[in-house]
Formats: sequence, C-alpha cells, structure tokens
Amino acid sequence: MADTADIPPVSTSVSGAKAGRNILARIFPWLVLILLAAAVIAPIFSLVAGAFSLSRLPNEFSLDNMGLDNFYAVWVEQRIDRVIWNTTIYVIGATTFGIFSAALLAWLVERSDMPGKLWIYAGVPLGIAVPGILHAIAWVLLLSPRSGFINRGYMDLTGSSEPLFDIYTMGGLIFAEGLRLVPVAFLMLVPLMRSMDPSLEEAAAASGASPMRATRRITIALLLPGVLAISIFQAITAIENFEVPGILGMPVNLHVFSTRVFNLIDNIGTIPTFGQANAAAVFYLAIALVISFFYLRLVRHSERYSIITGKGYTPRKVRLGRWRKPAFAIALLYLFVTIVLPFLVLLYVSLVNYLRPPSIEAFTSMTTRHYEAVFNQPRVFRTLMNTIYVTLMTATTVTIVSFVIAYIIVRTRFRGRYALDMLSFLPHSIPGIVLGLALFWLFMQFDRLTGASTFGSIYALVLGFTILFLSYAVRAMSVAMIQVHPDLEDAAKLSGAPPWRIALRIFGPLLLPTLVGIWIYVAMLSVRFISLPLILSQGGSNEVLGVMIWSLWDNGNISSVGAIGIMLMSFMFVLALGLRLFGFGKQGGGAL
Amino acid sequence: MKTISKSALLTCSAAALLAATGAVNAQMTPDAIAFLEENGIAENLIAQADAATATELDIPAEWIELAAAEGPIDFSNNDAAAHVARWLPVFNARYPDIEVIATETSGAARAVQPLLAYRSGNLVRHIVVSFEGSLQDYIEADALAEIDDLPAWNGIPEDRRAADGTFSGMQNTTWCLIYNTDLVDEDELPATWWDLVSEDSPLRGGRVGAANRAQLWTLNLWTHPDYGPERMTNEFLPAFFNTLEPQVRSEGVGGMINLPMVGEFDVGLPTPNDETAELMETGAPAGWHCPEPVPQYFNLIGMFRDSPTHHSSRIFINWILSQEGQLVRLAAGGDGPVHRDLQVEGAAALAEEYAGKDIALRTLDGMMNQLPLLYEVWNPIWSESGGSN
Repeated sequence: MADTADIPPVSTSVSGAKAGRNILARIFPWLVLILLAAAVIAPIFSLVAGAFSLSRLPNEFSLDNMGLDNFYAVWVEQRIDRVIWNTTIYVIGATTFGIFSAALLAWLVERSDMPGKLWIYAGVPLGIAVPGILHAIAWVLLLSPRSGFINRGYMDLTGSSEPLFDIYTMGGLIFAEGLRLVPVAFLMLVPLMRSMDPSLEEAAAASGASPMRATRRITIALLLPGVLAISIFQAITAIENFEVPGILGMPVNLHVFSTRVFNLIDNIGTIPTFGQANAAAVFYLAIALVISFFYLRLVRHSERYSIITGKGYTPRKVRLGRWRKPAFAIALLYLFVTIVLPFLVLLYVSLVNYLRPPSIEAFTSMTTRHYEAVFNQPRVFRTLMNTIYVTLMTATTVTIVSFVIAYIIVRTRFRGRYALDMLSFLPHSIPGIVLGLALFWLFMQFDRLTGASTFGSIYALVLGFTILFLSYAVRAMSVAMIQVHPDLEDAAKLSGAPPWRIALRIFGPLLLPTLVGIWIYVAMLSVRFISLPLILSQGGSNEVLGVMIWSLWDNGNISSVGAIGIMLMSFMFVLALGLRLFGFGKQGGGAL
Repeated sequence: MKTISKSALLTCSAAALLAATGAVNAQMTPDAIAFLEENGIAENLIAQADAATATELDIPAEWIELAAAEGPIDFSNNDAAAHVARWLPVFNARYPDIEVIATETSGAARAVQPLLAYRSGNLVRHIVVSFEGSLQDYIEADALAEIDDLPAWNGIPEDRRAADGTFSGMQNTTWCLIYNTDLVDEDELPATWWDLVSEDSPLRGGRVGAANRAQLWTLNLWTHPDYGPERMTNEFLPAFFNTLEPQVRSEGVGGMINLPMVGEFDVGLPTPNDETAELMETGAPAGWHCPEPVPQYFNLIGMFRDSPTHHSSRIFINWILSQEGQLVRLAAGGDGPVHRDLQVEGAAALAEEYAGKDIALRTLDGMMNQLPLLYEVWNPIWSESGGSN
C-alpha cells in the first residue's frame, strides 16, 4: 500500500510533465538568445577592449593600461584614411561590375530568347565552387604584369614592353572580385527576374514601346529596389573578402581593410602591434555595420517595391534577334573566364616540371610528381582530415542552430525574437578577419583565466565558422519556414506530439531541400573561407586546407598549390552540383 | 644480404650496449644508411656519422620509455612538407614510438602566436624553429626548456647555440642571388654587394626582385666590419633601394626562387642554397651566385617548457642535432648541417659557389641586439619604396 501511495495518479504525472514542458518552452528561447548574444557579442567586446589596450601583447591586457593611442597610431601613422579610400573604390567597383554582369546573365536566361540557357543556368552557379584564393592565384598566373601567361604571350607576340593588363592594380582587384561575386548575385537575381509581373511591360509594348525601351524603362525600373538590396548584400560580401585583395593587393602594398588588419598582425620579423590591428578592425567593423544597417532598412521596407502580385503569369521573353548568338557567346565567355580558365591554369602548373610559361617543351615535360609529392605528405592527409571534420561539424551545427533560431523567430511569440533576429544577422556584418582577431583575443584571455586550451583547437574554428555563417542559414531557414503552414504543426501539437517529434516528422520532410541546401552551402563556405582560420589556425591540430594553400603560395610552392587546388576544385564542383540538385528545392538559391 | 647481416649486427650491438649501460646508443639504423646512400651522401661522411652515433644518440633508455607514453609532438617548422615527408620516416625507423606532427608555417603563426599562447598558459606547439625575430621575447618569457644536456649538444659550435642552453642552431643556410640563366649573363653578376648597388650595375632598374627579409642577408652585412651600421644606413641601403631600384616584393623566399623562372624578374634576393639547388636539379634555367661577403646563418630550434611531450621532444631535437639527423636532412632537402664535424666538402648544397669566399655569419648578438636597429632603418625605406610591410 505504501508503494502504491507513493505513485502519483496518472493525470497528475501527465500534467506535471506538461507543466515542465511549458516551463522549458518558456525558458528555452531565452537560453538561445543568451547563448547567441554571448557568441556574437563576447568576441566583439574583446576586440574593442583590445583596441583600447596599450599593453604590447594580448595576454598582458590590463584595465589599468588603456587609452586611445592605438586609434591615433592607426589613423595618423598607418594612414587608415588611405585604406578607407581604397576599400571604398574596391567595394563600389567590384559590386557594380559583379552586379552588372550577374544581372546581364540573369536577364539573358530569364527574360530573353537566348539559346543554350540551360548551360548558362547550370554553369554560372558552379562559380561558387572556385575558392576565392584559387580564383585569385589563377589570375596572378595569367595576368601578372611580367610573367602572367596571357601578358607574356601578348608581349612576345606584339613585341610590346607593356603588359596587356596588370592584375596587381585596383582595376585588377575590382575585376577579380567582381567576377567572384557573380554566381551568388545571379542566384539572387534569377528569382527576381522570373517573378516579375509582365503586365506593365505588356502595357508599354501595347503603347508602342520597343522591347529594348520597355526593358530599359519598365523592367530595370521595377528591378531597381531589389537589385539595390542585392547590391548592398554583395557589397558586404566584397568588403569582408580577404582572399582576392590578399593575393592581388598585398604584394604591391595596395591595402583594403581586410588585408591591412591581417598585415598588422602577420609581421614576420618582430612582435606585431596587436592593439593597432584591433583599432583598425574596429574601424572596419563600424563601416561594415553601417552598410548592413542600410541593407536591413532596405529589406524591411521592401514591400513598398513589391513586384510579385501572386497572379499566375509567364513573363514575356524579349527577342534578341541577331544578338541571340553573340549573347550566348558572352555568357559562355563568362563561364570560360571564371571556371574553365582558372581550372586549366592550375592544372597546367600542377603538371609542369617547374613553373615556366606554356611552351611545347613545357607540355612535353609534364609530370605527375607534384601530385605524388602531395599524396606522400602526412601533412596533407592531416589537413584534409581537419578540413573534413571542421566542415561536417560546422555545417551540421549551423543547420541545427539556424533551424532552432528560425523556429523561434517565425513560429513563436517570444518577446525577444526581434533581438534574436538582429543578433543572428549581425555576424554577416563581421568580416572574417575581424572575427578571427576578436576570437584570438577572447581565447587568449579565456585560456589565461581558466587554464583551458581553446586557442589552437579545432573547435575554435568550428565556433568561428558557426558564428560567421549563421546569418545566411537563419535567413534561408526563416524564408522556408514561413512557407510551411502552421496547421500541420498545430495538428501535431493537438495530437500530443513533443517538439522534437514535430521537428522530425513535420518540418524535417517539408524543409528537407532547405536543410540540405543550407548544409551544403555552409560546407562549401567552410572549405572556401580562409581569413578566419588564417588567424586561428595553429599547427597540426587545426590547420585546414585553405590555410595550407595560403602557406604553400606564400612559400612559393606553386606547383603544390596547383595540385591541391585541382583536387579541391573538383570536390567543390561536386558539392555545387549537389547544391543545385538537392538544395533549396525550387527557390533557385534566392534565399541566400 | 649485406644489409640484412649489417642490420642483425647493429641490433645485436645495440642490445648488448643497452644491457651494459641502460642507455640506447645504437649505431646508425639500416634505414638511415640506405637513405643516405640512395641520396648521394659520400661514404666517408656516412661512416663518420655512423661512428659518432654511439655517443650522440646515447640517450637514457628511460627517456624512450617515457617518450612512448607521451602524445605526438607538434613541431612548427619552415621546412617544405615534401622534405619532411622524406626524412621523418628515417627518424621513426629509429624511434617508432614517437609521433611527430610537422606543420610548415610562416609569419606570425610559426613563432609569435605559439609564444603568446604559451604566455596564456596554452601550449599550441611543442618545438619551434626559426624564431629569431622573436628571440628576445622568448628569452624574456623564459619560454624555452634547457636542452644542453642532450648528447648531441656538444656537436654544435658554441657560437651557434645559446649560452644558457635553451636553443641551438639546427642548420646552416647560405643566402645569395638566384638568376635566370636565359636572362642574365655571368659577367653581369656582381663580385661584391657594393658592386650590386653601384651606379654602373647592369642589374639596375627592376631586374632584381627583393623579398622583405632583411634578417636573412642584410643583418649579416650590418654586423660585418666592411659594412657596419653607419655605412649600411647612409650608403648601402639608400643605394640598394634608390640606385639598384629592385622590385620590392611581398612573396616569401619561395617566390624569389620561382618567379625568375617565369621572367617576373631576372634575379631573386635572398635565396637559399638548398632550395635553389633543388630547383636546379629539375633542369630549370637557374643559376646561383654569391657576392662577397657571403651571408650565412643558422636557424634556431628550441622546445617549450612544461611540454606534454618533454621527453620525446628532447629525443627528437637530439636526433636533429646529431650527425645522423643532420645528414639525413641534408639528403632529404639539402638543409646544410650546422654540426662542427660536418663543415666539410660534400655536406652543403652549392658549396662550390661560396667556397673560399669571405663569410658574413649572422650572430646571436646580431639577432638579439642589432636586428631591431636594422629594422628601424630598413622598414621605413622598404615602405617608401612601395614595399608591403
């Protein structure tokens, strides 16, 4: 009897469990908010504190030794004003060039009768598979003023002493970065072009306007707000990019923010000026935040410029007439220049006996010894394993965390959901090099205080990447989640299904393309991104492929860069193909 | 058959000695002998190293046991990964229970960040090399463990190791000019560094590409009696940048070696004897020339205090400093021995290019006391010439 008296009635037990679940449901969003705030704000706080620190080394940080000297030194001695000017020109130039090229390609595949659209539609996104560092290295090999293969060929053929095009210039930076921006901009612009209501264009045509005039006056005018938002998004991408200016700008002292910050902490001869690097990074972060603010404002008011009416329609195709084939040729040229050419030039340097301009002799002396050398190095295998581990961990963590955050934002009435939304977007404004530096400071202090060993661990990279890529994932996940009607979820709740089962049985299948898309896209970013690991990588325990390629290039092992680059690009092409086939369903990547 | 019988003999000798002394003082391993023979090391050098092994690799058996229980050594280095992949198996043939994770790193990641982590109580590397730029900071932090009780320590010349026993030279490198033999005539090459920067130097006007590595060659001249800080500041360096007008490049040493081959510039500075020799072996149109005095230096090696791989790191460094290790690394990648008994013919790549010439050695005093003074002059003039810092 005593035993049975101790057992609560079934109804009490169930209601207790329910009460517990309710408490958990109330606490859980706050917990997520606090953790996200800690992950995003703690590194920034440490970065800013470091900028005011007058101690020579990060681990000598003391509140008693603070001041504005680093800001003064950065502004006056390091001439950060020049860096601001360079960055402005570079970002505006690259974004304009990239958006114009992407818009032209998107317009050709969506709104014109250009032949071979499928090739272009499938080919352009493959550009995402070319890591920025390999893209930039390929352009050095082709357009370096004296030895670039194209310039060398041009000078030999024409007898000119001047190169055709010098890639080590601001024009070169804009060209290379602009091309790199095209694939994502294209993926964002295609849905915009596809979903335009054609009635205004038809009205223009009915009023006697030529197709080109209608395009100019109606199509472009309608697209402008959307294009502006995408342009700002791409400007943020350009401003945080390190690989292209690192390879093309640093050799000639042409610095933008990302390279200047890196340059300040990568002094080979003496102990770097860490405080000044932080001060420069604070300026850098402030500019990125201002641009992000404008982006958010524009996106928030995007309904004012709504061009999708929900009405069924098929946008009218513009007839190109005699321009059909030249248009296709231009689109093919883009694919050749951004995908085929970098691949071929890296393949060439990976096979040639020693680095030299293309010639019959060079082709006859080709060898696979650089590939053999790469495979014989334990370092390569270890780095590959580290990269795979970081990629799997980051992609999985980001996918799960973004699902949780998006769910709270979209599906709950949690009071802090706007803050959660803002906090999850904030990392998009933090350039990789800045976050790397911020985490470097944070880990140094954390290790000093706790005796832990966070700096130099593989989890340091996973945490950094997770913070960095969360904004992409939360945006994409939120968009997809909005499209799932709450009725299904409500029905499951009424049937007593716990949240994990709802996630697994309702959202899982319905959001599968988005989940897969986010996973693959984050995996690709994790492999491509080098600025953050360049600061946080420390030896065999957490060296990743991007860092190894940078180190090999820096040490002049160009043939090894070619061999590893070819294998990496091949792998990335498979991932990009996977993204197209399985990811994001019919969204066309627009969410990203 | 000969190898097998020699192996058996070596094993028996080692076992006998071990039993007698409690120390592991084997002779050279068959793997090491085979590797050295295959890679063209002269027989007399192999015999010499073989004879020295009994004393230089005479380490207590207890170290081996303790090392076997430790984890892998994280070894930060600037040796090409392909070279490491060649010589590391020879080390492991002798010490199969010691795992070494070698990572080729450059810039701050190699020496500065491990020191900062150490000061925060986090050991991210166990062994560091080529930390000359931060040497003073390593000394101030008292970061390096004493290694002067290693059996191979005494083989290193006194002027190439720390007086307090915390670090040592591990290899000699000679830094001169690489040139593209299709683009540069031998009579255009300067006999001295003054000739290189003179008004009538045929290499003026961007034909020379220079890396921002003052510590590799300029420091040697800075401390040389014929040059010295005053003449360097007022005469040589202004002439180098303003008269010679080199291309000031951001690439590292590897870039200086490779870029002349594609015509980016005709002459690369500074370039080491070992890597240049390797390139020349591929049939590339490369030549190497040393103006006098010839800059030579020794890379440093040391291990952090309180390392979890204390014993294995000591065994590893001891092997690196021993004649066996020095010759194996020479055979694998041309790294010049620093060992006093290996300063002989056939033990350094491209030695014929500087044999008999005046050598300007980079000294420990130069690294610790003179380098900061040189940077005060070099860095501004490098930046003014358009170079990336």
